[in-house]
Amino acid sequence: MNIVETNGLSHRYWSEFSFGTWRNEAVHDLTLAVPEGSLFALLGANGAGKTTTIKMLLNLLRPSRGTALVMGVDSRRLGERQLAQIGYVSENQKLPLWMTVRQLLDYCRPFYPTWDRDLEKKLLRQFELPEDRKLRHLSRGMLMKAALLSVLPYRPKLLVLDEPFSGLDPLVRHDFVRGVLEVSTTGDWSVLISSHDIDDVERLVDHVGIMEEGCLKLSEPAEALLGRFRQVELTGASFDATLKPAGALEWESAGNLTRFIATDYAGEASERAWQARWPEATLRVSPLTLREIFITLARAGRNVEKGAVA
Amino acid sequence: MNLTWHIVKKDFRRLQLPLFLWTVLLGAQAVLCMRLFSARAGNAEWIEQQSGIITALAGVGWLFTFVLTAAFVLEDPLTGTQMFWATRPISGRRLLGAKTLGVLVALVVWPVVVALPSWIYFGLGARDLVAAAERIVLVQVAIVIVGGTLAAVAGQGSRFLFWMLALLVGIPLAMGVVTIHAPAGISPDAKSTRLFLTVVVLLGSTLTVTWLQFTSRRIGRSLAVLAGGLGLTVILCLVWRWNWVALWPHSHEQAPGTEPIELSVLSGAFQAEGGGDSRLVLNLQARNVPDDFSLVPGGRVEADFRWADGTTLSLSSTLRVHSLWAGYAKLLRASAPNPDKETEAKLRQSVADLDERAMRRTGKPAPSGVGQTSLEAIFTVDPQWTERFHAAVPACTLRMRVLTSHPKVAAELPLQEGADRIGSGARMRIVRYGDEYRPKPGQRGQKNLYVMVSRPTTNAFVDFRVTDRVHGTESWVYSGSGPGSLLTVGFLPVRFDWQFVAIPYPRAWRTDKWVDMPAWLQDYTLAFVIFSPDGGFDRELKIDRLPIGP
Repeated sequence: MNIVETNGLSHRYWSEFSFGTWRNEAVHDLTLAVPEGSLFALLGANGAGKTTTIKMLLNLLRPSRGTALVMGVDSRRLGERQLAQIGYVSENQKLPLWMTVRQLLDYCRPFYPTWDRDLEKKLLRQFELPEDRKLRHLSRGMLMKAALLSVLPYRPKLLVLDEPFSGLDPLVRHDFVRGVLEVSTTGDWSVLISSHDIDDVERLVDHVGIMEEGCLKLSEPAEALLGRFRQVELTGASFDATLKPAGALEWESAGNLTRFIATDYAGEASERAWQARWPEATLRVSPLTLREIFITLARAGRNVEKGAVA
Repeated sequence: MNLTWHIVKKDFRRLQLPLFLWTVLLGAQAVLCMRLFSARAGNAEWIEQQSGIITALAGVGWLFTFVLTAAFVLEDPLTGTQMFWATRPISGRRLLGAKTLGVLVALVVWPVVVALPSWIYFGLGARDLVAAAERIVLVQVAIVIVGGTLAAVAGQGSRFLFWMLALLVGIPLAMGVVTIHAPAGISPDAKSTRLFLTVVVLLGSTLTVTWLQFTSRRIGRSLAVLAGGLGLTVILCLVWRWNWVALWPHSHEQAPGTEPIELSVLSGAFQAEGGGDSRLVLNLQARNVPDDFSLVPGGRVEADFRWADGTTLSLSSTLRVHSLWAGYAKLLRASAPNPDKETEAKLRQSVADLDERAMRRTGKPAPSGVGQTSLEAIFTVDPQWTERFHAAVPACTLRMRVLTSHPKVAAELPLQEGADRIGSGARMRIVRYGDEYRPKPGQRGQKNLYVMVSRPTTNAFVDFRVTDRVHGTESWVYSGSGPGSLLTVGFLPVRFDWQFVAIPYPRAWRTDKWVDMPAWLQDYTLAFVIFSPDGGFDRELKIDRLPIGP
């Protein structure tokens, strides 16, 4: 069961007229599934289309083509019942800055039948937010914490975080992540988090999707993704690039050191195959971080189909 | 409903300062009006100044309504992708309900509540209070609809201001285009039809746009509907020339007691009008108007002019009434408990002389005769039809709806400075009394007084009556809504008439001359007569040959 499902989702927006082109496509033919109960990271560089996708999921933008189902409901028809189970925090959202933190919570509370006052108090203490200060007088980090505080106490089934860490200092990021984890341990919920800052989400997520120029490059469980990417170093001789294995990226050779990134590492079997291919080489295989995988893929700049990579 | 009210309370908290200022503004108007009415001394200049302030405050109030409506809507904007409410369990319908409720309470109901004490102070009765509230509600709702729609499509303050400025420029521009290019010479009823249809189209399109914006937030579609509505309005104004008033359901109740009233056409004449058209003015006369009746302006007349060759021209117009008081002369005449027979005989003789002179000059009795009223119907006629009228006099059928009123003495008070009475929804106070004026030595003198009257705007016409109940010698009638009125202050449903009344000294006929009796003034009362249309009757006149003069 998927909590979010998109099928051929696209969004075009009006752009300046330039040689006969009136419209640009921010998201193109996006087919994505976020499994229920997962912590899904939607990664991509700035302008990749992550925010546009999320806005379509929450009916803030209308898809030009395709459909999106959120909790089984067409995103264009999300009603009060569904929205009462969705939490959305975004750096782009305009919060009612004239309210104090207390007023924000008091305003939000009646809309959610599942609001947990005890959790609200606990998070308020944990986030160390001044209750009587107006939101407009809060720092950026505190503001994001206040936004998160307004969505966590009702334990949403789906928490959508759009670039939540942007511009936050490490301490606030830590608080933020702790807040999310706090709630995630108490119920069966799903998190969709978009970010261009991969380090922060790496320790959180169990599924990863990578977007580039409006298209989804890949989408798979984080464990599988981290498992099949390896950096391979061959020392001892110079090796011909024509012998490069299929799916290898960033092949580079200097002197008697050759390095490439394998995208289909399958444990000892892969290592045995490489050793057989370059018997004179000394093989060194090391895992990649999510950040390194993301950068590798971005650099590769290839139009890799999800299926091909997977 | 609880959640809807929860949003309303949030908006009130957000807008508490502007709402406080709004209340102060409303209160200031009420207080200034009460002060204006109750000021011990006053002069025209001071009254005019106060009137200017009150009028300006009313204007600011309307602007405030417009901007505050926008503030309510823009608090939860309907355009863009960053709004807070849209990601919360708040549906567009709930938000629309909350905004409507908030705006109705703050900008429609609240002004009525704040003004209520002042209306009671001015003596408005239950029906007048309802009418006054209705009037405020209508004006406020009209402003709220326009402001709300504009804010719904603007989505943010700066864009709203831009749209507001565009509206301020666009409306006069559109009206100018319409005035220049609209079909000339169409009947008042066709104009009424056009006005009704344009209001319906405008109202329909603005309400639709607001609904669409709240429920679907598709700005392109909303703007298209709005542009369509505005375009259709302009087209209607430019091409409409048909009269559909006859299709409307009319009330054709005949006011009881109007059966003996006779209407006849006295004369007709053409007058040149701008744009090549002419005005056909028909002078009519109503006879046998009962004493407790008055005919009032605002009736309608439809005319079919038929020529011998079968050609017919149908026109319509409103009916004007010249001498309001003729029908209720008895009401305004003082009864004479202790008549001075010598003076009464002289007065009767004077009236007879007046009528005789009028008959000699005009062939008609003096126009202010009891039970007799002059009416006028003015038709705009195209040049080609004017030629036909001049070439051959047509037969004519006139179908008229004449409006009637039962005038009432609202308040009657002695001629004393500070005298103050409430009655029939109106209030009158003598502000100053006693300045004597005599044009020349030996000529008839007069006492000047200033009166302040407040009345509901629903009472369309006013008159004053001065009565000497002791001597019964004379009575005078002054038109309070005519040129004698020095100043009228408009404060939504209450009007103020600051009236200068010159009361000539009562006179008695003694042997062979009129003698001033200033002492009798102490027995005088000043009455304030108000009347509003409360009925009507229909008449059809068939005229074989229309009496059109050169």
